[in-house]
Amino acid sequence: MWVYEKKLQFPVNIKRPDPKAAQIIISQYGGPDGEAGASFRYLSQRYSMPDPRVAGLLTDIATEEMAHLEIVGAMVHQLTRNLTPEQIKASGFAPYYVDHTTGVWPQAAGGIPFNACEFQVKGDPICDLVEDLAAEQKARVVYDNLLRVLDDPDVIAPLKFLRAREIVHFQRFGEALDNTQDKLNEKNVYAFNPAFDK
Amino acid sequence: MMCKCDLMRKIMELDFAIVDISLYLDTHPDDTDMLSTVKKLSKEYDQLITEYELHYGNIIRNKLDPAKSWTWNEGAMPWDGGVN
Repeated sequence: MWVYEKKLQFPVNIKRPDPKAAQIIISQYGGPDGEAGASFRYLSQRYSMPDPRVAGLLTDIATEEMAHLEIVGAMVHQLTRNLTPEQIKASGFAPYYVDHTTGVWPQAAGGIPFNACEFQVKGDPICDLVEDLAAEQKARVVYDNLLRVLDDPDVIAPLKFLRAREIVHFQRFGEALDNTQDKLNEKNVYAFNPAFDK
Repeated sequence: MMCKCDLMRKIMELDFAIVDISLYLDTHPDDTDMLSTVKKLSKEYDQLITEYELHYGNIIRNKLDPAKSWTWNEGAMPWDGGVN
């Protein structure tokens, strides 16, 4: 179970609305490498992890991803606060606005809705952990891409924090993969699924 | 006593340190130095949460002050830059 703590993991205090920035940052809310997909991926993969330390790590990282989802949601919300119809027309925000006003809906920057096909649960620990390593790198690349084209310090600070967390999670998943492989029967490592073949 | 913003800032810093070290301990459970560090931080965190909630408002919903009314939804929400 989970209990909400009424605070953000990292402060978000954006003073200047910028719907153009919101439209690309929203990809980390509901896009292919976004925080919603990350959280669902790890929460769903943990059931087939034979090593309780790895299952625990997936739970803890998935929980942190929910805090990241909240940070990204707060950013999109603050970047679109108090917009005038003129600002909406001028910024190219109208296609989003017509369906969602200034609510925060999980979609990619290109408008594609959040979809569970953005991640996999294969039920095989090696396979799933290798996906997790790639997922953290892909999310890190998205933050790099955002940081290259944005310049408001209020926007940059939380994005840099989130980028750094992708790198830490990548490191932890690498260790989890090592731990899992160490426990496998080395003679049969490529043909044996420890979650299924006992 | 620290002001509301400074206290929340300190709580967020401690929370982050505890989250980060906990992930490390998930894959390094035998590191006794880090375990004692996180225990120390966790104690400090609990004390600051108690201090904050005494003066301002709930951060953790289940930790209710029996003398207070239902203030959980008062003030600006975290995503609006508010701290309870």
